[in-house]
Amino acid sequence: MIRAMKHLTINTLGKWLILFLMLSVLITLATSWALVRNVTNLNAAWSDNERSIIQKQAYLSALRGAIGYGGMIHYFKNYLLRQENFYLLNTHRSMLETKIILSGYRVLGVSEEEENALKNIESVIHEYARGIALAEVLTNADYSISLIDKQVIVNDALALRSLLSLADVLATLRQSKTNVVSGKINSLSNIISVTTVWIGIMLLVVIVLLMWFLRYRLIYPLARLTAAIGQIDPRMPGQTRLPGTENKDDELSMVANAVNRFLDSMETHLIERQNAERALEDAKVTADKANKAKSGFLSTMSHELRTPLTSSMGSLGLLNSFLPKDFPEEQRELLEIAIRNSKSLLHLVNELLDYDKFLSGTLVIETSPHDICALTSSTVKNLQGYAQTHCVNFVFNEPTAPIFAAVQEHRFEQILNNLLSNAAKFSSAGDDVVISIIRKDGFVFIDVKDSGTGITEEFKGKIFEQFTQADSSSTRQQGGTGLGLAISKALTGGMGGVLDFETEVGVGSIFFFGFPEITNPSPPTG
Amino acid sequence: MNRFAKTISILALILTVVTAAPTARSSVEFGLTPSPVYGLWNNINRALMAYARLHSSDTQWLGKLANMEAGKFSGKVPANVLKLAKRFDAKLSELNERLEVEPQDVFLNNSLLGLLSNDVDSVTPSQVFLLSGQMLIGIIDNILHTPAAKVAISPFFEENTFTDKSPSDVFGLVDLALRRLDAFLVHTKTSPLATKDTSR
Repeated sequence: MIRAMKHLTINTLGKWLILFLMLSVLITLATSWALVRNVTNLNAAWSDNERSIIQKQAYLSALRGAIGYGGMIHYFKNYLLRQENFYLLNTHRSMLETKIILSGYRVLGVSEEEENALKNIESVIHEYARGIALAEVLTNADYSISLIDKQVIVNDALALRSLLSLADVLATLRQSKTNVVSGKINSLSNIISVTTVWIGIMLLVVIVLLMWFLRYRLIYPLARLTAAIGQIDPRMPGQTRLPGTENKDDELSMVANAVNRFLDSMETHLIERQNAERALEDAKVTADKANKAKSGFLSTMSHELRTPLTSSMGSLGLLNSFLPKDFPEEQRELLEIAIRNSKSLLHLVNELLDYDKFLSGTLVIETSPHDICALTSSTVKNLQGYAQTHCVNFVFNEPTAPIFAAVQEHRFEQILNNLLSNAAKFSSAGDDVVISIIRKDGFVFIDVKDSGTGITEEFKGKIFEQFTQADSSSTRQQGGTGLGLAISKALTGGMGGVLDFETEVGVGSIFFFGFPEITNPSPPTG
Repeated sequence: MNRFAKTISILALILTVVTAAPTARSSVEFGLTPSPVYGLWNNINRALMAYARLHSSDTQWLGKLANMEAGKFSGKVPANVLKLAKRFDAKLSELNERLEVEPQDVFLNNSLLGLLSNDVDSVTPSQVFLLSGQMLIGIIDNILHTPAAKVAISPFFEENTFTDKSPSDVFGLVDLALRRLDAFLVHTKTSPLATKDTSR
């Protein structure tokens, strides 16, 4: 039994329980039906017996009325003494009634004792019939009352004793029938009690077995399974697998196996992911190495380029300053072209160096309070020549009072130079580039407004990326590395400021950069 | 018996009584056969003849009445007998009215008469016996109240020993009594009957 229970699954248990319940219902129905049938039969027997006894008692009562002193004996005696026809007729009537009652009594079924009593009564009735007939004859023959009374003698003691006997029989019959019925009820009661006890025992056994199953085959394994699942770390490969139960076909083992399969799958996935991450890490290291090599190369190359370039520019400057007045104009122009291109090349190299510093994180900007208006004004003036080369006008709306912010003078000028040169490059000949200083929300902003073609929506998100210009075709037309805005934004951020723009295609753009305003500046140091 | 078993038993008993009660019949059968009924109607005929002799001295008519015989019938049931007996009872009432006889005050036990069923299909010889006994008493009562009557009535109550009589046989005697009573009624139209003596 216990061994069978150990291999019992929840599914099988459910089927057995349903079978047991159906069997219980059938047994209960059959028992109830049998009990009801027994009780019905018992009740019918009891009712029939009661009805019979009650009727017999009614007949017995009627017999007493017909025979007794209120009936036949009474009328008989009165007729003997009074000789009135009324009593004669009533005597006969009483005898007629007695005949009917005795017949009715027999219909109900009589015992030997009852039959004897009934026969005794009948014999007395016959004696009365003979007596009354004799009395009538004597009366009609005008005999005296006293003589008739002496001649006509009827002994009714037998009838009266028989009536008492019938009463005793009925009482005994009722008692015996009651005893029989009581015995049957007791028997039924015992059957019900025994059945109830057996059903109770069966239910108790089933409940105990069910509790055993639930405790040792469901709750404990479930608790072990839950604890084992709780100890699983999905980030760690090589986890211990969940234990199954003794019966590999039971539901909990199925769950454990399913979890184990899931763990296998997850572990495979985890290993694949870790391999991919390692490969990615390796690739990153390689890329970093390559990037560092590129930065190193760029830095080295920039330094290597700038040194001879600076020397060349110095030599070209000296050569230009010492040129005789009658130096041929054609060679002079060639010299100026060489100087101009050298400057441009030097600017390009400087930008590359700055950007490299920015990328490598070695760009250090030390700020100090400066009058932004003065810095802007001087930068605009310095770049007026550049504006003229692009046939545009720089219009600076200079504030009357100084406004201070913490910036590095050189980098501020670099940013503004970049914005102004861009505005000059992308404006049409004869246009004005308007420079304004605006104070807003604790910041001081420098706006550079041009009337160029504006920046398309598609390009807005890329404007601050490196090596980018609004129109790639313009890079060659307008010159520049495409690093200007990227470097400017990095420099602005490095000084705690912001750089952004507003633009409208066909109308122009406003590039603005700003820094937190300083209201009480201390004098600049160094 | 424990409490639970008692409760179950009582509930089952109540259920059984409630369901079985409507089928119980209240009629009572006295177990009389047609033979004692036949004996009773034999006595009624005898009493009727005695009554006729008390009221008429017309020997021819009395002889004619006495020579009437019971007819032969077959296939009769107690219901047929009862129906005819009731016709006889109605004729007897008509005769009593004609003789100015007061309704009799001697009856069979009311409780017995009350058991008579009104259901024609369930008429038994016992019911016919009861009604017949009542009519015998009625006729005897009339005899007893006839002036200067010196007729012994006890013989009319003698218990006869007829056996194996059928309802058809009884029907024949009832029919005979009815014909005699009819003749009696016809005869009263031509010959005055003796008046009723109401003394007791």
